[in-house]
Order: sequence, then structure tokens, then C-alpha cells
Amino acid sequence: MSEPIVTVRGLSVDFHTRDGVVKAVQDLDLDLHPSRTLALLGESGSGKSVTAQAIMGLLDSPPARITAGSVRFRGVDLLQASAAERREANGGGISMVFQDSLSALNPVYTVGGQIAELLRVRRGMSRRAAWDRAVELIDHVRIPAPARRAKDYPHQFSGGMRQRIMIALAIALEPSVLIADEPTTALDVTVQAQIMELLLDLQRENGMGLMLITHDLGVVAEVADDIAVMYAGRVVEKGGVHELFADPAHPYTRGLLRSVPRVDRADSTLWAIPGSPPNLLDLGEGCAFRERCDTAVGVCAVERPALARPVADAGSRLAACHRSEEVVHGRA
Amino acid sequence: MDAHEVVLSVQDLARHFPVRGAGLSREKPVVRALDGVSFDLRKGETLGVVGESGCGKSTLARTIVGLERPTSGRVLFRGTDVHRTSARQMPALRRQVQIVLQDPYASLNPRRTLRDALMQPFEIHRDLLPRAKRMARVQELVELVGLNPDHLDRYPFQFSGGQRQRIGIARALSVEPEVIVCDEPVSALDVSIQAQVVNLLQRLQAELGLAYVFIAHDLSVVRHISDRIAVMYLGRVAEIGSGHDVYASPAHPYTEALLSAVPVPDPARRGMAGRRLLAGDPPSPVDPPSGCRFRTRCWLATEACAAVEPLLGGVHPSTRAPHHVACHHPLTAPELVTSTKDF
Repeated sequence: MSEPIVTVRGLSVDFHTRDGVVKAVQDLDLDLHPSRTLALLGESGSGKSVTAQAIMGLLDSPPARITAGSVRFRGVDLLQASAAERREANGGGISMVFQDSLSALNPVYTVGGQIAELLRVRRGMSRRAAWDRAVELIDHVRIPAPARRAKDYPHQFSGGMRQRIMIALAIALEPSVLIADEPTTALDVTVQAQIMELLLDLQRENGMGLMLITHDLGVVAEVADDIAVMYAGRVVEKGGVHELFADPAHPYTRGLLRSVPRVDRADSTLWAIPGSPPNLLDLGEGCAFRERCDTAVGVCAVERPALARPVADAGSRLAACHRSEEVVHGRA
Repeated sequence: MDAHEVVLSVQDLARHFPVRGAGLSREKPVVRALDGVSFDLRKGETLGVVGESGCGKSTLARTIVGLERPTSGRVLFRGTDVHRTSARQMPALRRQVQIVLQDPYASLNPRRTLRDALMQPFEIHRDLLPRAKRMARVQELVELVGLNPDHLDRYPFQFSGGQRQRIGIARALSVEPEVIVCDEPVSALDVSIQAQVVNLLQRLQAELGLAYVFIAHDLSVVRHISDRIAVMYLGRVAEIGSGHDVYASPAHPYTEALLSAVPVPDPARRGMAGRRLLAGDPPSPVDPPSGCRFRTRCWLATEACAAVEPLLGGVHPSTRAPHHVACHHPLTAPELVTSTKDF
């Protein structure tokens, strides 16, 4: 495999709230490779969006505080970078597509104007050249009649078309990494399929590393190469998409896979993970998943399992579970 | 009791909304959110309703329970028109058809405890239960939906999303309805919590003999819970039939396209299902296309589709179960009977 373009090591993010310190992300390691898609999979509150915002330098501080770790991109630790280095990296190096395209776009400027402004400021293009390039980009994300649509305002687009505009903005400076935070969650399945197809085509064209943040196992199964499953602020399992779906090594991953109904078959009852995610204010000792886990034993309450290769597993996958070897072999 | 008795009958139901600020022209434009939908719901059955946003799913839900007045058509509960009943009979009728909404947080008063929220239905329907028995019933409801009875004095913000949806379900159940309309009941929930709520709805149905109209944009969840499925497009039903028939052998091109867009959570099957990508978005419900409403996005459309609107009708070719499809060129069933109506 090629050298990673983004390397995250030991990232920890706290949020200081009135009720105490929320440990949103703890000791997180990630590698993102060119031309590959890494899915960050997790439920709400698992820390996946905070991770993306930390990489992009978008966290508001306070309340957020990055307490440890590094985010290396092209030899620079972005967490220590100067404002100028950070500005250079954002957009041109690492770019991001957000879930809510209506609030991410400025309602009082045309979409073409917003893309052109970016090109004028960051690439020093002339007004005319920037506008022409904006129209090209709008065409590139497959919006019909781009020259006319460039003059429209965000509210004149449907949700799916607006998400395409967001993608046009994100790729305008030709980034080598694209982070997409739930890019299709608010969209219909028909439009979701179009947007995912577009993202993968763009990746094939220019070899971007794509980090896809999602809670949708179906989307992950269809597009991801690598997966990191997050639970309560930590990566609990990491590996290639095929091995992870075929033989999950963490009981949480296994529970998630069992609990989704599938359109291609009918089951009588769904498997349900009992309970709800833990309170991040008070995680205590031991494994954060133990209270919802069907394989937890005594040690799970006292010792937090480290992310490690399940013994006797031939693959490259890592899991944070005391019983991962039994889970992966279907013995627990 | 006859398992096939029809509890709810929706007949040619339409709900149009005037377009705001549409000028002074004589002909006022309208949004045809719901434009002629018919189906029967039998006792203890689940009818799933799927379709893209804007297809009229939620307007259907709101019109069935009486939150919207129909522009035309009728909703009959056991033969009585829900919208044209006398003021005296109305509360009793409303009680029979309840709704569970997507976001229970928005429908709960933040200043009232769980106890208050569950007592409220009995204050509205005073004759349902004598005051002395109400508290016991609230306890029973809380346990029925799997909430902790010790939490009766908590406020909505103290509950998680899944727990709030359980409160919404308990409230709907409190007045002992026969029909519950579920409008995107699990869409706002996390995957691990979705399964809990879906299982709860299924258990309650088995125990209490409830009939559900289950509306969702997640086609996998709908398949899992439904006996029959209606696929809606631009205010109309494109196809309706048994869950198995609709999913295994869709007859309407729109159904096929919709199903093929659903990602299957199995990487081993990646790229195996021939995916049919639909281009663009649905047309505006203010001015739907002539003839078949789907023809502007359909790869099988012919001149006939623009001229003549296809109507529902027919049986499934292999299972012989009633399977209706509104299409001139149905996919799986060349012998499928479709009737047409000239305009």
C-alpha cells in the first residue's frame, strides 16, 4: 500500500461543558491513503464528526480542546501549524463536504459567485477566469445547464443538487484529501446513489484520499476500502471492508451488522443491541461497550482493552476487545 | 374475528395546497401533494409506504389521522368517514386512529414530565378511564413500551432519542387505537436503537392486534416490518402489492430504480446488483407531467405514456396475489392487466 497522505496519531479532544469534561475523542490513530476510501463508522456521539473537525481545524475552542496527538499532512503537523500553513492546507490540501448544504452555503450570493470567490482569493484568478472555471466545476459535478445554474442562489436548488454544489466547492482547489461528513444522510436513496457515484468518479480521476463519515452500513459496504468503527470516542475496530463485514472481531461491530434489516432478504426479528450509548462525561474504567455487550466478562469492567490484532487472525485488522479472538472465530 | 376485515379504507384521497404568493391570476396554482390515493388496511396488518421526499407520504399520514382536511376523497374507519363525522362522534373516532411522528422531541412539551405527557390523553378523552384508574394505566403503558417506571418524573430532555420514541408510542397506545400511522418513526434514531424500536412495534402489533401504516424512506426497514407495500411517486401510488412481490419482482420501473439505489450492507455483493441510477429529481407537484407522472425519468417511456395515464389494477403473474401497478410497460409481468383511462 502507498504511503499515507494524512496520518493521525493519538488524537484526543475534550469538550468543557457546564456538566463537566466530555471526552469526545480519545487516543485516535488513522491513516488515509491516496485513491482509497476510509469510512469512519459510528453512531451519533461516537466522535466521528469531531475527528473530522479536528483534522480540518474547525473546532471551536472553547469549548473544545485538543489535549493530545498530531495530524500530519505533507510533513507538517497541522495541529501545531501556523495560521498561514493551516490556510494553505485547507481547501487546497484537505477539503470537506458537510451534511447540511443549505447552512454551509451563503444564501445571498449565487452559487457560481461563491465558487468564483474562492478561486479569486486562493488562486488569484481574474473575475472572468474564476467565473468560467466555476461554470466548468458546476458542469463537472453533473448539474445540467451549468452556465445558467451558476447564476442561481442556493435555495433554488434541490437538496441533491445543492450537495453537488458543495462538492464543486470542495474540489475547486484540487485537494488531495476529501473529508465527506455524512454527505448523503439528508438525501433520498436515489439521490444518495448519484452523489456517491460522483464522489467515487472524482476519486478515480484525481486519486484523492476520501474519508467518509457515516452511520450507514450499506454505504460503507458499497464504497469503502478501509473502515474504522468508533464507539464512545474511540476506534474499537479497524480493518479492510471485506474482513470486517465477513468476520467482525468486536461485539459492537457484530451487533451493528446484525441489527440492520436488509432490502435483499426478509428476516423475522431484528437483532437489537440493548441499552443506549454511554455517557461521555463519566466513562469510568473498563470497556465502554461492556454494559451493552453480550460477551462481556469480569475483566471488561476493570481493564480497558487496547486496540490490537486478534490473536491468530491472519488479516491486518485491529480490535479493542478482550475476547476478540473468540468473537472473530464465532466462539463468543 | 375475521383477519381480513378492513379497518381503514382510504378512497381516492387528495390534498392540494395553494401556492403562496401566486399572484392574482384566476386559476390559482396548487401543490398536488396527495393526488388520488386508495388502499385498504386490514386488521393486524402493516402497510408500508415508501417514496422519495415530496411524494406525499407525510401528507397521507396527516390526512389519515385528521391533521389535514382532504381536498377530495375519503378516509373510512370501519365504514365511518373520519372527516365528515359529527362533532359528538369525533373524539371516539380520533381515538381509533393514532399517529407516531418522526421527532418525538418536537411533540413533547419540555416543561411536562413523562407522567404528565402520558396522563394528557386521558384528560382529553375523559370518558375513557375513571380518574382513579389512570395512574395504574400509565404505569402499565410505561412498562409495555419498555421504559423504566422510576423515570415518570423525568422531563423530555432527560431521555435519549430511542426512549423519547418509546414515549411517543406509549402516548399513541394510551387511547387503545386499532390503527397507528407511523410517520418515519425510526429515521432519527441510531442504527442500534432503530432495531429496538422496530422490534417493539412488532411485538405490540402481535400482542394488541394493531394495524400499521408505516411510512419511511428507509426501504430496508419498510421491507422488514411490512406485509404489503405501496410505492408512491408525485402524490400517487405507482405500485402496491405484497412485500415479497414488490421487493423480489418489482413491476413498476420506478420501484426497480428505487430498490436498486438502496446500498446492500455486504461488500461481497458490491457491484453485483445491476444498479439503475435515476437521473435528476422528481418533477414539481405543482405541474406534474401529463400521462404517467414518472415518464420524465423513465427509460421505458413511450408516446403512450405521455398521452394516457396508467391506472392501478391487476394481480401478480406468479403468486396471483393482488398486485397493482400503474404502468404501461410493467417489468416483470407482460400479462399483468393494466387498465387505462383517457383524458
